[in-house]
Amino acid sequence: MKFLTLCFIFILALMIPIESVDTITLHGISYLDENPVLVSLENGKISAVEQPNQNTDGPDVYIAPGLIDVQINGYVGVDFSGPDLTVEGVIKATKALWKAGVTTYFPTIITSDLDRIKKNFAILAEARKNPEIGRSIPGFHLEGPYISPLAGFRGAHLEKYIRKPNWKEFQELQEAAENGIKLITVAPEIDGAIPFIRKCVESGVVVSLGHHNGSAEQIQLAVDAGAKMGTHLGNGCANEINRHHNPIWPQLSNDAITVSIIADGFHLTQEEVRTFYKAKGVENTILVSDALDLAGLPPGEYVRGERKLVLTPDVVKLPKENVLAGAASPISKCVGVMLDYTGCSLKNAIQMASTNPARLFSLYGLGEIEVGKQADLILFSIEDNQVVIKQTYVDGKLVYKQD
Amino acid sequence: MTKSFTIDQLQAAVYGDPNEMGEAAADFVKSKLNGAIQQKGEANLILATGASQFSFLKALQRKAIDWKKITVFHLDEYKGISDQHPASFRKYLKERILDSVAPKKIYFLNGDAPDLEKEMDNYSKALQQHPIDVACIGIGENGHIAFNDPPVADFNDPKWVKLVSLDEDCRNQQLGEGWFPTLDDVPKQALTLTIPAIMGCKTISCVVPDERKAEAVYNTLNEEISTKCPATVLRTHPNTSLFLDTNSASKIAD
Repeated sequence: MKFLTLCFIFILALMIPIESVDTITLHGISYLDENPVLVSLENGKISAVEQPNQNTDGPDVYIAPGLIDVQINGYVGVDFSGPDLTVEGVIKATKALWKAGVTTYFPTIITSDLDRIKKNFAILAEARKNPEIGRSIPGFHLEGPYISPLAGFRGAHLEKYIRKPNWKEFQELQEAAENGIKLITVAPEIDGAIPFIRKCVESGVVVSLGHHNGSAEQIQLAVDAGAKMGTHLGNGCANEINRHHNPIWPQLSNDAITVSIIADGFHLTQEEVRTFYKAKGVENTILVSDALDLAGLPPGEYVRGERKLVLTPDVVKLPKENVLAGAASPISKCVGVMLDYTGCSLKNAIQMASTNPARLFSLYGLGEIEVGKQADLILFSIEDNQVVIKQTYVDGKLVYKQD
Repeated sequence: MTKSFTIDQLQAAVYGDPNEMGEAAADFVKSKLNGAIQQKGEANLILATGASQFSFLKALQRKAIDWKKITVFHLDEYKGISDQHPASFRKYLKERILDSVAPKKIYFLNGDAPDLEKEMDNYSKALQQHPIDVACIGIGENGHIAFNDPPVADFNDPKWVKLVSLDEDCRNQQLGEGWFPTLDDVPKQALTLTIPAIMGCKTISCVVPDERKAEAVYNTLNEEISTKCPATVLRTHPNTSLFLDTNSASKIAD
């Protein structure tokens, strides 16, 4: 009878979690098989995953592990590479990301003045110690400054700050970051890159190839040195490249490379996304937002440095040149684009946005709904291939609920 | 390799030093894993811990293996210690191999789970759902495999995973390898895969370097097959390779 009463409460309460002493039980549709599921949370961990009673009608929301974004430059006006970064800013960005279903992320610092990089890593390292948001930031991504100086390949990175790989210098950055740098994007073809990659890998940092014009041979050498990833494949690349010899084919063909892609609906065409996904497969693809700090702000005109930028609801543009300036969508949006562009299953889309980054970066407690894992979860609906976040749980606590 | 021989069904080989031994075992495991991946698209692996596995694990992570297709289990874990404890086998495996190879999926045996019965039950079920292609094991100074010490080893154990008391020799070995400051700090109990759970694996790769293990190796190869020296059971497995170095093989007659 007790169980039946409980079930009755489920129907009444729909998505509202049932709280007993310390346990919260969420009722929804599993992202894995689209079957109803009950997920219990206790002391910040998942304590049970069960099939509900057959006769119970559950709420019409999906349950999935929280999303993990390993490349995000800023959010809600907080620029991780900017001059005004503060711990408070990082807290604000983290909480805003929770609303977008991102429970874990690597704040990404791009090619900048070395002192700025150090200063901002120190701020990020401080922010990680915050008990409320710290667990959402298991590491940082350093994108540059050891990348290609060539126009097109360097993308929006400023040429004057691009440098040759320097292990001692990197160690200083790592020290400022209190060993928080878990991912570095490097160009394999520049002087000293291969031994540098080897040292990074030996020190436990994941090396991703990006903003580069590496040949097949140079890419293979980097993989042999331990590089495991390709950064935002198809972007950070010149508009015109050789049809046979270019940096894209070797990264597509090499199964040792997991590629990240910006599937925001703008940075890659549908054909590119479909092709990359078919070539790499679900195991070797991860979704990143590469969002600029303007992401999460209301659309409009903004000034950054000396440039005027226009934020549309979806993407940042340079109005003068009418070209893309950067991404503005959290990866929850990219999950929807993957569903739309490739027709992949929700299970696969979530794997690319949560399970794969958790695996690649040894975030053992994350990326799956399983007993004993950290209770970082999202409840969401899918409306016209768009993910609408209804609730977000971090460490077993409700941190966001849609009004 | 300095020599190789077969006793009952067990194939053994002796190598010049632990590194050579580790390389050979890693090549063996690599070929079995890649064979399984070729056949069914994925492979299931059990890893062991302890000082004896250092050179093998170091070599294994450098081999060309598609870890994205491999599900990993491990043999045992102490009761009641967290995965942050310096002697934790979970911590050991993360730091010595898993962080760097990032396998498809890892099943950790949580010795500090609030409900150990449930934990063992879940682990047993997961093992049953993942027929193991290769089990990498060692042999303890007392002849144990996993934590099946002589007093608790059972060749016909109905269980897959069980809670055992560790015998004095076993606890002294853990102290001797430097994992704990005093004997009192060595846990008295642990969770372990049982002997049938190990013997059910398709291939077993058993890595045993070091002088400390010479007697256990001698017993494994020469004693009557019984739980007095649990590792003797390996002689009845159809596909087991034993990797030794000259020190661990020093008591074997030429």
